[in-house]
Amino acid sequence: MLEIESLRAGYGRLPVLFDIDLTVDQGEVLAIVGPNGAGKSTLLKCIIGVVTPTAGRVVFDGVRVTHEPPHLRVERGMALSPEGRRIFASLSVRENLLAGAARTPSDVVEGQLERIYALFPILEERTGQEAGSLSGGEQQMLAIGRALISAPKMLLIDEPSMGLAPLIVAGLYRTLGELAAEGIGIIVVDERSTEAISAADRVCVIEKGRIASLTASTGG
Amino acid sequence: MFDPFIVKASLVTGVALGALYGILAVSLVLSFRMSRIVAFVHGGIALCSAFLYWYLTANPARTSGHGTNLAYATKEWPKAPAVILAVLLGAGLAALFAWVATGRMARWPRVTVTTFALGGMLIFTGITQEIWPGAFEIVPSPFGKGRVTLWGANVSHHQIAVIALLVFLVIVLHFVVTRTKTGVQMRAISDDVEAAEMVGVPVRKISMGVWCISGALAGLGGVLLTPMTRLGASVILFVLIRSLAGAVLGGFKSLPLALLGAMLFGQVEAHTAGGTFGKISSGWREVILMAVLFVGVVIVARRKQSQFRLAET
Amino acid sequence: MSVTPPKTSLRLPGSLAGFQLTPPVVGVLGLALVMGIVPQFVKEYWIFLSSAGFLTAITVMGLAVIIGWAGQVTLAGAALLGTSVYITGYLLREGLAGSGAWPFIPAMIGGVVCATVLSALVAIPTARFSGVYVMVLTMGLQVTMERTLFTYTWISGGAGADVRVPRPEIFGFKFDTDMRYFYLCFVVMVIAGLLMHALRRSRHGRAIHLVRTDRQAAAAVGISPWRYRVIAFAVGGFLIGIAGAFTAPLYESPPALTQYVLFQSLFLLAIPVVAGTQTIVGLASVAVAFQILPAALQSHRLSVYLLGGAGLIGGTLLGPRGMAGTLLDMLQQKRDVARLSELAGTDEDSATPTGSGHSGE
Repeated sequence: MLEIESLRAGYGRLPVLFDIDLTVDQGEVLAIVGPNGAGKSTLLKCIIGVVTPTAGRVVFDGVRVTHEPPHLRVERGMALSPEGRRIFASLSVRENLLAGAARTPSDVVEGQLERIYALFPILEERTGQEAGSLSGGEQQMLAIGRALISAPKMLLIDEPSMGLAPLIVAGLYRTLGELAAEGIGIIVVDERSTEAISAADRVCVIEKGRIASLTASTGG
Repeated sequence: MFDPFIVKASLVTGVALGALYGILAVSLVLSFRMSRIVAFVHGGIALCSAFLYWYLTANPARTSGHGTNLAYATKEWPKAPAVILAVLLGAGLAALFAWVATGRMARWPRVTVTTFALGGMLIFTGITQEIWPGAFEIVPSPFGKGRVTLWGANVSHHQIAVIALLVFLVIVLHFVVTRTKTGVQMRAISDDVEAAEMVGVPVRKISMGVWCISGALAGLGGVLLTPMTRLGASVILFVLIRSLAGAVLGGFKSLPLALLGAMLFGQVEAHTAGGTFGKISSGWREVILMAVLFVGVVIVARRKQSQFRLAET
Repeated sequence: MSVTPPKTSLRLPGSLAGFQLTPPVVGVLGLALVMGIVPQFVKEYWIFLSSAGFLTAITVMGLAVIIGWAGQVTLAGAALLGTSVYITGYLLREGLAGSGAWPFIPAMIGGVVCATVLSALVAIPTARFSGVYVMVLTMGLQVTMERTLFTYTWISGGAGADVRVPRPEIFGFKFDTDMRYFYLCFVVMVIAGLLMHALRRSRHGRAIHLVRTDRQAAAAVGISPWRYRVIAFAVGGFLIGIAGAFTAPLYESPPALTQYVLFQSLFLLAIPVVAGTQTIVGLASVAVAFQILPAALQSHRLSVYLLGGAGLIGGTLLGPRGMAGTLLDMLQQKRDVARLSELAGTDEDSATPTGSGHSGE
């Protein structure tokens, strides 16, 4: 469903990613691991479109989206839960979720809202509360919920376990497994590799901007 | 010490002044929320629109220099199409500015973009000065010349209409910002542009749209405020600064608060000038107004800083 | 994001031992040569205008200190300048408390102190705020000065009134002709430039630079960002004050209020924005050009609004380093590209992501 072909990217004149080739299928969970600064987050940003690659292409659902702006890619069915959660602190929980649904038809949004509240009941409890006042774990759920609101076919999650208690992390990965079982493709970038690796179908190791290895996971 | 007649009259004058400052204050807040810069360019936009409106509607016999070969051959159009054209001009000029500010400059430091906005103001002002050098004109009101006496103060129909229109616009815009899907996206952008982009908010489109609306408001502001003053570069700048003070007093955040801030500033000015607190020289009046602005900035900046401590450094 | 200023000294082959022909030095030498010859053949009007240009150059050096070193934009440039002009002028004419006219040096000190204190005073409460609010408050200061001090005709001298401000006499030497005053202004400008140069190289200059580049790092090594911001504003105010003090007797009568209004602040601001704050000679040249251009193009009626606006827009589009900085960057870039391609084969992976030249404030 998602194909990345010889992708190169960088900031200014500084190259970060070199010749990345990667595919992710429906219902597959791909874990990307690697040391700090290896280019994992940049890869996700290239896929969603906030960083424009200098070479190569991104193909989603058979369509070349390499130079499309992020909101069109979200409309096509991608969604990103960014590094550091980046929730909108002054918006309410519900408004945060709706912000991720800029171009989603309202009946889909209604359905997804119900699903998200079923996945993370705490969010329904806090629906009118200012998102900045949520705890770290709740904010992470909100960030994932915000990505799910557009009913994506491909979910990109950056550092979901950052700063969370192990119990919550385990719960998170269970949820990701359930989503994958419904046919959503998932790319998860995580520094705490053990959970990510055990939840993933395949594991991709990125080092110094290149794919160092790409193997089927033994954990799951 | 407090003469009730003077107090009442000053109250009314204060509301009128507040309305005068309120229009640009609202447009400044709108653009601040999109790009987190002070849109000084709105001063230039208001001036351009005001000049266009004046040129289209004024009676040539009433322009300065009438009878000499320096007189301006103004048209005597009906008011409504002239207002519409002036507002459209405002939106267009703002779009021109925003095209750069939300494109190439989207991630630049706010101080740089604000400086760019100052440049825009100078350019737009310069253009009007090239076309109508030295003009300092009386502008006809779109609402006629009628006047009424309210609580001892002489008020024009124009002032009443401006207040009504302003309150209406603020209510409508506030509804859009707080209750609609587009409003949610707007606030998401003003919270964290990059995050908004990453989760699929069409940032450029929304920002451009809001800039156009704020430019249209600035254009409307130019048309509505010049009949209360006169038409000239220094006048608009003077009003712009006071509008800015109003917006700052309102916390640079919500539109109703911006209007309230402008009203508050208008009240302070009206009461110090009108004699509620006895005779105050014009110099001291400026110092008092500056002090009010100062306190406003200190409060707002403090609060903003605690909110976005990481983002601001 | 600021970068450490690139080393731009040209080590010419055969240059004197230890003496580097850095651009400032070349500029000063070249300018001195031009200064000696050209004025003898130019009409008096241009001499006078150039004097004004030199003083503008000092003013924008002051602005450049605030912009370049503190990373702040002040919109009170014209207000500070006007304050110094009128206070110095007043002291030169009337003195204080019936003391009679003061000599130039004490009168100058009076004007400079006022401008310095005023500039620092706005900086003290605003130094912790983000730049946009500093702009709002300095604009407030500008308008307040315009409508208080500048309108008091007993200080400013009033427009059109028959008030004379004498040209100064310093250490017994009378700078009474336009030509003599021209040289005086030039020398003062050079001194101001050298002072700025020296200050930039000093411990304090580096501290100020660090505060601008990275507040956290500055705080971590024990430099108070707040204190250095205030110092940058004070130094800026001081330089503007000097410019004002020498402007006071330039016209031989008090200059009109319209020279020190907000629009003039914006016009002045355009100069360092165009020139960038890195090279002092660049600043001075753009300042003199901005002073002379409107007069030179008078037949084409070039509006100062348009010139100032074009300056601000062009300058900001060029980026934080201005015209001079951009030129240096282009030279530097060629070298970087050469170096990068050398390295590319061996160690291209070591690159880490950084912001795009414009992040941070």
